[in-house]
Amino acid sequence: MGTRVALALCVVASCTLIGKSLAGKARRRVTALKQIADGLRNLRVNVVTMFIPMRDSLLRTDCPLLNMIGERMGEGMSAGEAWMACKPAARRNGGICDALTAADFRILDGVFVKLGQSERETQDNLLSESLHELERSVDAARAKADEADRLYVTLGLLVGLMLALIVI
Amino acid sequence: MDVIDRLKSLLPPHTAAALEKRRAAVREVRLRAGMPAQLVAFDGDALCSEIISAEKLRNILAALMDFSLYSRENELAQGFFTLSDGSRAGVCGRVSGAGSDGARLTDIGSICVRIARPRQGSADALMSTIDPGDGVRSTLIISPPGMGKTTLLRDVARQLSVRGRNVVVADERHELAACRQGVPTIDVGPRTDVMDGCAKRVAIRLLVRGMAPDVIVTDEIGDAGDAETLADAARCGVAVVASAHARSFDDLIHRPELSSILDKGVFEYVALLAGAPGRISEIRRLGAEGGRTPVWERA
Repeated sequence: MGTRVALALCVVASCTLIGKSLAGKARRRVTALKQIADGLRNLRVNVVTMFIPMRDSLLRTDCPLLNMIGERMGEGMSAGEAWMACKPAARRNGGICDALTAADFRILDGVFVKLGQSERETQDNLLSESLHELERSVDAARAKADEADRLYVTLGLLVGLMLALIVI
Repeated sequence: MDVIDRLKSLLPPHTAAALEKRRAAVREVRLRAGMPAQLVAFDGDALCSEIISAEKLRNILAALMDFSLYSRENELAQGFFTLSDGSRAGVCGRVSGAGSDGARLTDIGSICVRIARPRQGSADALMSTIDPGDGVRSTLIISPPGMGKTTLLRDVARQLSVRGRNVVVADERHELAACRQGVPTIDVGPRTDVMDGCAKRVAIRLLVRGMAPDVIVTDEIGDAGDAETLADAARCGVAVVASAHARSFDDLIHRPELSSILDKGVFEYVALLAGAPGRISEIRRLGAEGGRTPVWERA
């Protein structure tokens, strides 16, 4: 009997952890969006206040995605072209942006394609609006992540309990 | 990558090949929307066979500006921007508004890239006049455009620096030292400090106050206010080596902005470049008192 109870407890714990890991993607989306928003905030200072050329501005941020775009610009591409070149790798499973949604990519497309193409005032507006949109996405993603956390953990727990009952 | 390699990677293939063929001689590449590229050398020019479309020209312009139009905004308002190797790209297009800081250029239809060719030793013939050993003599270098004033000034800065002088460069147009993130990309000497992208009169004031220089080197003087600033620097005991546009000594004294600088007694010598790029055709010494009609003496 003791062995069965121990096994049942293990099953409950495992199912709960599986639930938590399923909720992880939503949490990773929040982290990725926050990182990009922080990067764009740095980028805005570099561009609008310090007039640093785009490639150096991107490389000076702490955001891996922006750094990646900056690296590609070194091959003679515009920021938009560099983003399009980086996108498949970033989007791939395990890539920097694998947790982002189509709506998130639409925001990123909107900002990266126009980066560096206009005067300071227009760049300022572009970056401000994109940041605003990203911040809204971060809030929504955070709420979704909390919801997913609760849902998957509860589901995991319930499935675990059911399995435990069967085992016992 | 120098400007010629950069242009080659952006131009259509036959034009790029023509540019490579004339690499050593070409001094300007002129691009116009809907027209073939014009390669200008010291011995004449050539039109290439391919037409540069308006879209191609826009792409070339964006690439030359490192896809960072905002960072060139102030320069563009003056009608040009400087590339990372010190070459200058002049632009021409529709002016959609003119503010106090210059014109706002949109729909750019022409680009003229003037290729910088730093040449060490180009100032050799001038150095015994500028720095005879007992102190630096303030010297004004004059010539028509395209005769190598900037190249000469760069080498003067480098050589004075190598000789142990503390040199400061007021590089308003980023052409003398072509600084990138505050670091010169062209050799202007080991004892040279560069203030770039800043109006000459502001830069010179800051440099004299902050860097205790022996010599100030600056390009293309002649704006209102230059005379007073340079005179202030001279009063502080700092020698000035500068350049200005003038076709001849007569032209120099008949241009009010330049003659007012001479009146202040800032310069001891004037060197004229003429005949061929970089060729010093004559050096004259100004009369001891300066004065409206300078006393020219062959140095």
